[in-house]
Amino acid sequence: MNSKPIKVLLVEDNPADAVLMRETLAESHYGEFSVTVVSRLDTAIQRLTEEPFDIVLLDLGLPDSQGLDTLKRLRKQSRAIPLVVLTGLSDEAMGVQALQNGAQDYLVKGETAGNLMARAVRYAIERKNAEEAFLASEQRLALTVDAVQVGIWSFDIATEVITWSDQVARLFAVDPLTFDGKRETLFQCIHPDDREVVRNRINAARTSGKDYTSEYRIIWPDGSLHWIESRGRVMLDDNKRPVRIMGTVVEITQRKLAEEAMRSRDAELAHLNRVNTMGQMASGLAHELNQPLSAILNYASVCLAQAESDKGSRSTILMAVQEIMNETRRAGAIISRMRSFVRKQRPKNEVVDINQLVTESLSILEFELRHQKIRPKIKLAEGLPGVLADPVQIEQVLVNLIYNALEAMSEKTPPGNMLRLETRRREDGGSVEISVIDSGCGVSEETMARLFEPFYTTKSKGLGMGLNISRSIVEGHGGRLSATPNPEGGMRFSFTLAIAEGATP
Amino acid sequence: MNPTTIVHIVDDDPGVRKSLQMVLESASLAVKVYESAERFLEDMDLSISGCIVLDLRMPGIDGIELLQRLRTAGHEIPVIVISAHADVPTAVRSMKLGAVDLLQKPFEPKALLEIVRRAVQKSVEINQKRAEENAIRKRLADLTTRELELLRLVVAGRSNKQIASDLNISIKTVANHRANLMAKTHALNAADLTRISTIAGIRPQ
Repeated sequence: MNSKPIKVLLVEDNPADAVLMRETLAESHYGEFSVTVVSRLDTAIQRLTEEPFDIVLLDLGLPDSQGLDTLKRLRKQSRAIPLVVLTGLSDEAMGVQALQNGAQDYLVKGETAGNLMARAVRYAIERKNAEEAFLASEQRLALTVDAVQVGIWSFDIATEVITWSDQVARLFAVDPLTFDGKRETLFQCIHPDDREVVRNRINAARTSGKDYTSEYRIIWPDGSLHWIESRGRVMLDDNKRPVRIMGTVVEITQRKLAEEAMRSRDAELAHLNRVNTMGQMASGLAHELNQPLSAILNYASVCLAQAESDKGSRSTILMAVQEIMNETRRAGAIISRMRSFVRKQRPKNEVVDINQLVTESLSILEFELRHQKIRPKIKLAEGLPGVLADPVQIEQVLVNLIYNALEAMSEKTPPGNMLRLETRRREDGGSVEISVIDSGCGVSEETMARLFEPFYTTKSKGLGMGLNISRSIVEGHGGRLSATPNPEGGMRFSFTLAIAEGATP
Repeated sequence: MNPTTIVHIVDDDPGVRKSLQMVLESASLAVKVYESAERFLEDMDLSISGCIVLDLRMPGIDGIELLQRLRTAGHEIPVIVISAHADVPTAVRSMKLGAVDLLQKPFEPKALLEIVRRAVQKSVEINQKRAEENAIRKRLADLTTRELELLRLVVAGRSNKQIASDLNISIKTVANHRANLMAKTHALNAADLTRISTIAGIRPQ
C-alpha cells in the first residue's frame, strides 16, 4: 500500500459533516489520508490551483454554488482530478447524474461506513487514472489514424452490423448519418466486379479465423473509382468463437495508379523484347513455314496430275486434298503461335499449368533447337499444382532463358551440348521452381555481376533487355529469378512462381 | 515385283516426307522414306540404282554430314539436296560433295520430278558403267603377259607389221595373238579395243 498519505480536498460547508468524514477516513484501513476542508467552491478551485490533490470530495450544496452546477464548474477548472460527489439521503438521482457529468463515484452522506468510504475514495482515484490513460491512448490512436488517414471498421458477426469511423465514411463517400450499418449497403459502394472477391475473403476469414486482407475498388456517387486496401483481424470470444472482425481501410488509388503505370511501361518493354526475339528468330520462322508450304505444293501437284490424267485416281486426290488441309492448318498454327507471342495484350492473371508453358515455349523455339541439333532433356515434375500467372509473360521468360541458353551453346560443337529443362515443387510447398540449364560458354565474373542490368549485353545482336525484363516479369509475379554457374560449365537460370490458392494438383 | 530403281527420301518433317512420296509414287517411281539420317544409314541398300532426296536441316546427323559419309564410303548414288533454309556456304558445300542439285523449299514438284528422273537415269548409267568396267577388268585379268604387251602396242596404233618387228616375232604370230586378244576381250574392232583399254586404265606403249 502507498505509504504516502492520500491528499483529499473536502469541499463541505457543514462543519459537522466535515469532521465526521475526516474521522471516518482516518479510522479506515485503506491507507493514510490527509484531508483539507474548504466550505466554498471558489476557495476549492483556488486551492486546487495552489497545490496538488489526489481527490476532491464535493458536496453539491455550497454557499456559492448549488447542485450539478457545482460539479460542472469544478470540472471545468480541473478536468483531470478524481472526484467523488457527496449527496444527501434523498438525492440518489442526483448522484447518478453526477456520474454522467464526470464524477467517478458518489457517496450518500450518513449512509457510508468508514472503510467503505475510504475504499470509494481510493477506487475513484484508480478509476480516474485508468480513464485518463485510456483517453490518452484514444487520443494517440486518433492522432495516428488521422495522420495516416486510416478508416476503422468493425463487423459484428452475429448481427452482421458494421460500425465505422468517420474516415471510412469519407473513403466510401457515404453519409455517416444515413448509413444503416448493413453489410449490403456497404457492398453497393464496391465495384460490381470486386464484390464477389471481397465477400469470399470476409467469409474465409470468418471461417478460418485468419487475418483478412483485400484490395478493391469503390465507386463514388460522382462515378470516380477509388482503390481501397482493407485489412481485418478476427476477434474471438472466450470460447475461441469469432465474434467480430475489426480492421482498417486506406485509400491506395495513388499507389495503384503508379503500379499500373509501371506495369504498362513494363508491358511495353516486354513487348519490345518479344518482337525483338521474334525478329532474331525470323529466319527460323521462315524455315518452319516452308515445311507445310512445300508439302502443300507437293500434294497440290499430285491432285493436278491425277485430275489431268485419264487414269486419275479419285481416292488419291481425296487423300491429297485432306493432307493439304492438314498442312494448311499446321501453317496457320505456326503463324498464330508467333502472333500471340508478339501480340500486345493486357496482362492476365490466371491459373496456368507451368509444365504446359515449358512445352509450348520449346515449340516456339523448335526450329532453333533443330538448327543447333539440340534435343533438350526435359524433366517435368508430375502433378504440379497450377500457378497464378500471365501465360504470355511467363512463356516470354522461358523463351528468353532458352534462347539465351542456345546462344551460349552456339559456339560449341553439337555433341557436347546439353540443354535441360526442369520443373519441381519447392520444399516450402507453396511454390514451383523452373530451371533452364545449359552447357554453354557461361559468363565471366564481371558479366555475372551485371547480368540483370538493363541494356547490358555481351552479344552483337542483342538489346540487353532479355534478362532484365525476365526478372521484372518474375518479380511482378512475386517470384525470384536467379542465375548460378554450373559446376561442370554453363549456366543455370531458375525462377519461382507461387502456387495458386486452392489449386488442385 | 522388285523395282529396278528406288528413290530414297530422307527428311525429318513428316508432311514433306509423305507429300514427296506421293508425288514420286504418282509418277510411278518406287520410293523409300526415312525420318532421319541415322535411320537411312541403318536401312540403306544401295545395290539398286536410284537417288536420294535429302533434307539438309535435321536433328542428329544432318544432310551435309550424311552426304559426306556416303562419299567417304565411296557411294556414288546421286543426291538431290532440299532445304527450307539454304544459305550460300551450305549450298557450295553440298555441291562440292557432289550433290546433283539443290532445291529450296517450297519447290516446284515438277522440277523435282525432272531432277529425280535425271538422277535416277544417271544412277542407272553409273551402275551400268561400273558393271561393264568390272566385266572388262575381269576379262583383261585373263590375258597373258605377251597378249598384254601386244594390247599396249595395238592401242598405241602400231600395225601388225610394226608389232612383229617391235617384238621380234613373225607377223603370223602377231595375227594369232591378236585374234586371241579380240576373243578374250570381246572387242569388236581395234577402236573398241582402245575403248576397253581406256576403261581398264591400260596405257598405250
